[in-house]
Amino acid sequence: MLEIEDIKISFGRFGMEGVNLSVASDDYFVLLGPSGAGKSVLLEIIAGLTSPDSGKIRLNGKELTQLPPHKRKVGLIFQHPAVFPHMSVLKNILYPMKGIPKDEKYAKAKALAAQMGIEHLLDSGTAKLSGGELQRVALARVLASEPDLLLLDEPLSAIDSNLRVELRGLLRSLNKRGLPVLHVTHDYEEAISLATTLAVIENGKIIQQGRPEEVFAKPACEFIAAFAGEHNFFKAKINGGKISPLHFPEIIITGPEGIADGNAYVLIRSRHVVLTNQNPQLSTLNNFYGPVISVNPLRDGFEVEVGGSMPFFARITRESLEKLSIYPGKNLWACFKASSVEVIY
Amino acid sequence: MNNRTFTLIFTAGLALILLFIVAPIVGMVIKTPLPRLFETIEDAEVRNSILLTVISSIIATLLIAFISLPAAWMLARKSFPLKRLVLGIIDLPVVIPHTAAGIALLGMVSRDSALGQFASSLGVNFIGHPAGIVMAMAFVSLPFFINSAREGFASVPQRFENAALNLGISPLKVFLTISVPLASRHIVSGAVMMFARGMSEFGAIVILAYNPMTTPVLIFERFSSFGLQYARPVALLFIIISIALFLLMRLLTKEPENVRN
Repeated sequence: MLEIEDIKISFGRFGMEGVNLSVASDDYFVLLGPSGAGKSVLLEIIAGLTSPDSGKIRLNGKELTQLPPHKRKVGLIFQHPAVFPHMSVLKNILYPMKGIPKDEKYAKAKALAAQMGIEHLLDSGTAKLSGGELQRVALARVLASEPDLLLLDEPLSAIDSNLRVELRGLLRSLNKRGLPVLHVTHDYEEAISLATTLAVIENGKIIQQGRPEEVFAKPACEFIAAFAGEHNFFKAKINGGKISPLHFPEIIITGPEGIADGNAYVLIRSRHVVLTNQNPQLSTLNNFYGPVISVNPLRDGFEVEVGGSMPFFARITRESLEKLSIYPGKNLWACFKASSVEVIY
Repeated sequence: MNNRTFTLIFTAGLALILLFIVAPIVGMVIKTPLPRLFETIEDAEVRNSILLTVISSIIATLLIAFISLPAAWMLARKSFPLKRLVLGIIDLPVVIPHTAAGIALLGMVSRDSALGQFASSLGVNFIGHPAGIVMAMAFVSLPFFINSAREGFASVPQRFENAALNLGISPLKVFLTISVPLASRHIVSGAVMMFARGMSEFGAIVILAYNPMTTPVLIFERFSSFGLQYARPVALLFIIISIALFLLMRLLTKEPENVRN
């Protein structure tokens, strides 16, 4: 359990005013915020690489605040993997191991490399590795130091998107094996995909915290609202390419081709949902009929909630609202293309 | 002025500079008959002086490297009050005349100074002793090493050091296993420069330890006692050895370190 109490720091124009948070032992805690919100600084403070002006940090009941970085046992993965260029991959992974016999060290390094899928790279240098490979070397090396907590600073930002899903799975499984994680990112998709607890940081302050669904359903700031004001956001089960929302299992939504089976979050941006009065003869594969529940004015138009067996939200302009003469209680169709369904594993 | 004239002027300048460096040395080679050179190689006094010069400079370089490496790291990484003053002091030996440096050092270690008395109580005598030669060499050439090492440490991204600390490694071990290897090119090239500079020192040495004679002092001695003809072969031999050692060490530092990620 990591407890952060009233951390304050200021340099230049940047300031952090009393950050409090706690990461439970089985938590995958994601701290989401725009660039410059103070996420990396907070991780550096926890790792002891930057000193706060005031505040306390405790890990499993032990006070860390005054400890030097090398005695804290909090593994930090930097945004740009700091894999040592003058050592081979194997040497990098062996580097933090202390006090165990040589053959055990090698066996442990091999096991970690296998876990990260970089076994074949052990003897190579680091100059020719890709971003994803470097990040996995960094992960294996951090795990070799047997940390009590894993700190991740935008670890997936320099990595190809298809590899990202794989690395996310890796991070999730590390967490499930009992390693608490504090992960900072500005990528909402990453946050949704990984978080068991989500907190939002802006201008050096934590402004919201809770389960991902809660945070996204009631965005407390513009940054989150920019993508989370999206109400067509839910957990779903995918089976044979068909998506059924967990809370509305009878509904079937068609997603983009080639989506994998399993549990995932689904996001359909409300500006991609089309409303029509007539039975639609459109190319859209998802067409749902129901009454208008509510019409909410937004800064740039209206958000219309269409009921039926499951509510869908559509964002339309005032002109469209008047043209279709939409009012609560009226029945109409809500339609969206399979390709506008975003699936986040 | 058109492009060609421009290039011509620049090339001419470069050619003039190269000629300025190479011509005296070539002249020396032409004017030294080969048998005289071989005679010089067989001259025990010359051989001993070359050995003394090379070994003294190596000792001076290793001594300074050992003491100042952590200091160079600190100068690269930390900011502290009066840092500019400290950097200025380190550069001082480059700007003061070396004979003046010799006089200053002599004052510090002479038999009636506190340090001199302390050293002689330990059986060390700087004046007219190889220890004085090492001291003079170290004094005049240490800026070459410290500045190069400092640049080297500054060029190592700090996140490598931070990552190592974060992995539970003590600061001293991080310094030895991360900072020094990653800055090694600068460190070695600084050492080579310092060594070469120490070998060629005359001004400070001649005051602190005229005897035993290092080769630059021997060249001066032969020139002033016997004339140009007698000084030239020794000078040529010393130049050849200096260039050979310099090339050898440059070769050792050739391979660039890859600090990509």
